Amino acid sequence: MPLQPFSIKNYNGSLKSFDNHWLNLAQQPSSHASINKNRGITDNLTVPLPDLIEYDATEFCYVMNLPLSQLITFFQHPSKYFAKKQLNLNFDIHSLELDDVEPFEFNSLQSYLLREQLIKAQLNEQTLSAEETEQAVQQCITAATLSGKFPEAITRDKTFESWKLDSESFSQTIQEHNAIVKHEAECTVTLELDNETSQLLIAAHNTRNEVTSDTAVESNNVNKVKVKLSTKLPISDNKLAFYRSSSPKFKDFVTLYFHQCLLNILKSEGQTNSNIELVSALQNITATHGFYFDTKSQKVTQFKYSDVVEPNTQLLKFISQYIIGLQQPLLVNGEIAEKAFKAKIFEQKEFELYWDDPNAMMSIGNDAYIHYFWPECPDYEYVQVQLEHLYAELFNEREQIK
Amino acid sequence: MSTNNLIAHTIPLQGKHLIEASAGTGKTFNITRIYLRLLLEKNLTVEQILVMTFTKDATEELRGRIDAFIRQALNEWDTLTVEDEYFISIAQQVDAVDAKIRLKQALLYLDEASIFTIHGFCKRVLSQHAFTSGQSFNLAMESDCNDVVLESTQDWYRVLAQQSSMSFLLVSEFWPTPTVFVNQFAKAIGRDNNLDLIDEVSVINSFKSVVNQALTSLQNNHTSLVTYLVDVKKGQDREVRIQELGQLVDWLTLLSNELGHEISTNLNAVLTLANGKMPDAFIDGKRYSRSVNKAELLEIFEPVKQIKTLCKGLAKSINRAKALTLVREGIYSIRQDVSDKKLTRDLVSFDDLISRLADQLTLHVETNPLAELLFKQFPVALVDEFQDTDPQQFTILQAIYYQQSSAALYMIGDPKQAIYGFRGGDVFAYLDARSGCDYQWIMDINWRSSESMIQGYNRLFYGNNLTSTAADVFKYNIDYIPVKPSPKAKDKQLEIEHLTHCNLYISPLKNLEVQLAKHLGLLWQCGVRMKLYVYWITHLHVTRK
Repeated sequence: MPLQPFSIKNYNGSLKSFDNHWLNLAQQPSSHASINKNRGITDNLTVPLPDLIEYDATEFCYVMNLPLSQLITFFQHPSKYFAKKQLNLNFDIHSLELDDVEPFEFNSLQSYLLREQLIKAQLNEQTLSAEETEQAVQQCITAATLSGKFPEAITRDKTFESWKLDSESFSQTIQEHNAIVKHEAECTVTLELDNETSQLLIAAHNTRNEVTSDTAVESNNVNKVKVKLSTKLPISDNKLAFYRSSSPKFKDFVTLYFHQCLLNILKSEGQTNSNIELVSALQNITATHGFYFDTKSQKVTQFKYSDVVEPNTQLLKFISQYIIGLQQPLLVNGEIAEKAFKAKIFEQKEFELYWDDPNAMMSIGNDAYIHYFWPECPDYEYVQVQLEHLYAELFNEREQIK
Repeated sequence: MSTNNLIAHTIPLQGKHLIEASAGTGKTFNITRIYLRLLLEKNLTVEQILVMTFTKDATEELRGRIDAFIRQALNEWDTLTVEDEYFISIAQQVDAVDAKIRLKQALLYLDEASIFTIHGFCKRVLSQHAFTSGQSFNLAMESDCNDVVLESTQDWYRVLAQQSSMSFLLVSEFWPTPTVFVNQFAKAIGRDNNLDLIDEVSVINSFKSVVNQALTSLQNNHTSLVTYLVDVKKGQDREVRIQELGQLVDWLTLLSNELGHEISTNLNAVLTLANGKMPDAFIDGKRYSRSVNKAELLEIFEPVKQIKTLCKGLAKSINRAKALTLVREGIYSIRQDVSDKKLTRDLVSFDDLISRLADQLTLHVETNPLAELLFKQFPVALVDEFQDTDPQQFTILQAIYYQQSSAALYMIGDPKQAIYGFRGGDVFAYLDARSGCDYQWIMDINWRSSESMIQGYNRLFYGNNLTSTAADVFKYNIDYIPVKPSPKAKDKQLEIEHLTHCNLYISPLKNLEVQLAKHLGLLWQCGVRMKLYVYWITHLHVTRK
């Protein structure tokens, strides 16, 4: 009889002729998927947690070292982070071949990088004379001219000139707000993870490490994990200051927010913090500011975070989500949250339009990673719950300075 | 020249014939019959009879029909030469044994038959006669040569950027990259004609004429303006209006004066004025929204209003005109470069095939060795779908057959079905051919449709009652000769239930066939190939009782 393996009868009953495992294998994902397919979660796809912790014999506890930049990268695009780190799945297109033709138009990434360099040259940490600054700026422009990354024509010189003027105006605004970064201070904040997450991390650690030494035996009795979040704080006169020559994106807000959380924690630790130099440097600092220059509208926008309520709880919430996001893809992209936060009404209909927006250059549903994990637009109510849980404070506490 | 009904067994096998065949009148039927006569009466081989049509599918269909007809002739020769008028006529000239041998030979070599698309024919000729046609033996065919065009455009951008910064700025303001340039001008680059454009002077002159028109309108209607706009106010308001009207006239006079000077030296002054504040208080009608003379006033101010719009875009229009002048030179240079690159790389696009052969054949019209050679190779040609021939394709046919008295060229088509304008098809080439041919034939019996269907579209294309004078439906001197139904047409009735398969929704169902014909007319107007739809409806979806 043809198509035997496709007939369910052949797996069941007294005359079964195929191994039931095949049937289970065929049925399992579909039944799972049917429950969760619209929830914005794909818990049928889970991978084991990597070993994120190590035993610290001096503190008698497990420690998870987590650079803040890593956490920021994760929340920019959680499912992309998961795919790349955990599944080794990379959809980014990098052509290995060199192009035969020189550029005739301005590559947006190259343009952005040059504008950043120009701002950096204008806002040098050391106090340089006007001539020296001008020299530094000219050096950037000469290097860009000779790099071959920009069109070889008069349009290039004109565009460079306009970017130079933009950078002057942007740096002037930053100076006016006393936001030049005087120095960057290394800092680390230690947070204690909850029991459940700690157990999860310890279990992952133990499965990957055999008990061989005394320290390992000793560590068997430890059931707490501390997270050490480390970053560099960009300290200006009275604030933490960030600036980018671009309109602000979600990653900017999350950067500002996380840094403000760290700042609040460090300030609350006060004298108990052993890093006296840092404590004194942060004495006058209360808020985190971000300055963004929109090239099109030629305007600077400024955002600020001041006091964050319960910064420890907030950061732990994001860290727990990060640990979940290393086991499965999460649809908690901040840009969706931002869109929902800005919109008057944002429900399923609006979400679907945003998911597959014909007017957008790249709508979220067409993102390679999102499309891989969620080929169809999920139900918004499930996505919404997670987004609100994570980002409500981040957006509510954001303050735009006009 | 008189137009007669085509009869396949009497049509002369020499001379230039134009056969006009409406859809369903048995065009392919007659082509196969003429083909068979050429085989038997002129003793030609299948390789010597050139049959050209427009698509690969059509060549295959023709080959199949010729094959079937030759087989039928061979198998039923003895019966047909007694019963069928066409075969009786042939049998009078050809001996049965000879005929059968030739038919067998034709069948044997039918795969070698010269049935080509126009492109296929050109490619065959260019490579077969590489020495005479001056082409490479190994021409590499490309369906398009966009890469070469882009490369040449990039070269032109490079040169322009180095040679003249100002020119480069002008061009890149509108077409910033070579890719954008090619997207806009690919067609112009692909052709070989001279390009006309509206230059800077024309832009300024047309602006100047609108300014003068506006000034004249204000001067001619001065009394009305004073009465309706100034005299209706008193005191201070009246003074303001006098002042505003004066400002407008002064502004226009100044603009007109500036435009009157040598524009090359005075352009900046004109642009400063045009980009500055225009005294436009009266233009939009808000000042006199309740005036009974509003309409009249608006009419007077209409040219002034136009100036306001033109002023906004004047600098851009002038820059665009300047840029286009540069672009024209650019296109000429890119064309040359593309052509050089193709020659060096042995590349040809489909369109190049035709233009190269046409060029080769028109080098020496009187004694062209390639034309002579081709005529010897193909003493006879039948060209199907002739209405879609473009002038270059027609040039090829003219070069081969128009200089030879013994040639036979049959051009078969229907100007009403000219639909390939988008790829160069040109119904005017057809009309030219009509005036230069020796014989003109029509086929006026429709063998495909039912009587009422034929009546329906006869009315539609005739544009009037068939007893009255015809309306000029198709223009360009393309007449419509009403076709007659075949004797069997009465039996062909539509079965309505099958129409559910059609996407056409036609209501009411009474007079169905006339309604269908109307619908077809609409489709035809949209440029959809009428014939296909007639075929589709009659053969696929509407069965006959």
